[in-house]
Amino acid sequence: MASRQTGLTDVWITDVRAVTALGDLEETWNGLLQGRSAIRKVTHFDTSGLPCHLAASIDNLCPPADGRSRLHPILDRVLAEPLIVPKEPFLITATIKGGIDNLEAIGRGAHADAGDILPSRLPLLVAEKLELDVAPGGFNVNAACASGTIAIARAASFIRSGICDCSVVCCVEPLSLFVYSGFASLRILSSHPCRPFDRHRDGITIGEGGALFVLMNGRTAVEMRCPCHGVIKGWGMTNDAEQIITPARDARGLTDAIRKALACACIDANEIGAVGAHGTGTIHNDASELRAIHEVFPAGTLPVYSIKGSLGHTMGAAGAIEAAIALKALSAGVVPPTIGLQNREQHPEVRVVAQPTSFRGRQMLTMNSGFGGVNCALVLGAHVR
Amino acid sequence: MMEAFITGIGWVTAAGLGRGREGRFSWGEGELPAISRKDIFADPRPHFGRMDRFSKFGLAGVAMALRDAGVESGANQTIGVIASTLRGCNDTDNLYLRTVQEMGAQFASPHLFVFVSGNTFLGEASIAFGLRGPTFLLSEQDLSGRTVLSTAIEMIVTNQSDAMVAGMCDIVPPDSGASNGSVSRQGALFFVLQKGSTKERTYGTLELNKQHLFFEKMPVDDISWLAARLSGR
Repeated sequence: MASRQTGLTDVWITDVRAVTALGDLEETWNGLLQGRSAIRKVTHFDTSGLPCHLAASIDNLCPPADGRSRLHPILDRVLAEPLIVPKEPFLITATIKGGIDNLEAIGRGAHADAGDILPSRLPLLVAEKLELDVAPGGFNVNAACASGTIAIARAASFIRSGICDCSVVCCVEPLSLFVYSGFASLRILSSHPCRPFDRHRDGITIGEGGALFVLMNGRTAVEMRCPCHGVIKGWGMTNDAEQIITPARDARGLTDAIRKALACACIDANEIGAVGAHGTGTIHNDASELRAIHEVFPAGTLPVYSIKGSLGHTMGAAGAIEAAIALKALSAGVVPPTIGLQNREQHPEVRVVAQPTSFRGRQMLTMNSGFGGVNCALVLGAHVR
Repeated sequence: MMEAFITGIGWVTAAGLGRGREGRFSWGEGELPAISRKDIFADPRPHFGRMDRFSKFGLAGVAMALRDAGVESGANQTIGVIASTLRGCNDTDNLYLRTVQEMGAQFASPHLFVFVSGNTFLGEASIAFGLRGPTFLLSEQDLSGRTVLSTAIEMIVTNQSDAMVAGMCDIVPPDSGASNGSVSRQGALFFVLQKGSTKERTYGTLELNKQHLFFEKMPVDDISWLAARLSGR
């Protein structure tokens, strides 16, 4: 099946933003290409007694003094510029634990806004910050580490189905002791900066960040004279139905999610130019993901990368941040290096790249998996005039 | 206009466990009942007793809905499961945090941490019943359930899943002081929606027009109204 021009019925990406430990989207992209890592010692909470002391935290992100969660300064950076959207866009947010740092603060006896704790309040917070009247029915997606990916998929699906003309997707996850100690207790945190797809990988490094996508149908985007940064072409969601924490060894769920996303995009596997992997750096995730990629793309020639060796695992925001980076990659025709990768897994044969690598093709695949057996894959397309 | 058939309804509320073909839905009053493994599964499930309270109620609601629809074994379909919540696993968050703050971060409970991602019970349901379709939790202020049912219909019609279990699960922490009658709805209520159905198995057709939900042409503003209307007929 041949790719076609971007049409008015496609789901256009008219705005895309990200804030990571490397900076805004442009700074993050440039930093990734330069091989920079934002992983450093955690300073804003005490990690003594824990086996790991590293994270990719955002600089100068002081929590507000008025008892608000650390998610506010991240959101303030993501939402700094006004949006160009039609009346009452549909708002979807994604976070796993949102302002859980305020629950910690309250537990310590400090003054903190309990209203920031529940993820169900995040859509209201985002709408307030944007000073936006949004359509009724907006919600926050929690699908563990695939939350951001599923939020984008849901927004795109609502637009393609004609349920709404425009959707704003805002994903955010601050770093907290709550989450950090949990992953430490599961013995999933690496004591080194994480090494996705490396033979000696031994766990994740946690990061923090946020991202925003504005999606519209092409007709609305043209009417509003919005730019097109790319298109969401397809999506696929599955559950492994096997284990809660670790992905299925046979990678069947993730393989099915990728195939569903390709079918949804009406393209063949050979039309994908590169793959932005979840690549957490855990033994099981990366092994399962390599297996799924090999299953769908057996030639082993596609460049595959993970950005978590630089930005850490940004949890509920990861899928959206990674989709934003994939759009930059599509635009530049080059994928960023997998920072931390030194000794590549040899089997199965998958071309995980440790250097910036050029690719051909106008479509990319990104994917994430998470606790609860969740898998989601997205097919992103470059804007074709 | 998009549509799907309602083939199952299940719940666990202050009035107890129930399903559409064997009882009449109500939120009941007072505290939620204790849920045991035997209420849901005939065979031993050692893992069940270790689940957090939110997961037990969510899993029970999903199980009752699947039983009502006659698809507990998956029936060779791709079935997804999505749920709406206001408070999510907030109760479990508090329990987990207590282990961090009272004993030190190095002694945080890995067991409780697994349940502080509110979607974990959807994964438990997927494992228990072989549900391989989409799973995610929608956290929202509005517990009418309209968005979650609308989402499920849209996902069925656009072939993202053959069938969906969709509903709500929300509980108030038992020590919050709010559970004795002051909370009008807590527990779990789920519907099974399918693309096609036999006349005997269906409760009727749920329709989605833009963002508006209808059952047999009547507007649906609240899923508990729908459950009360359809159950025990």
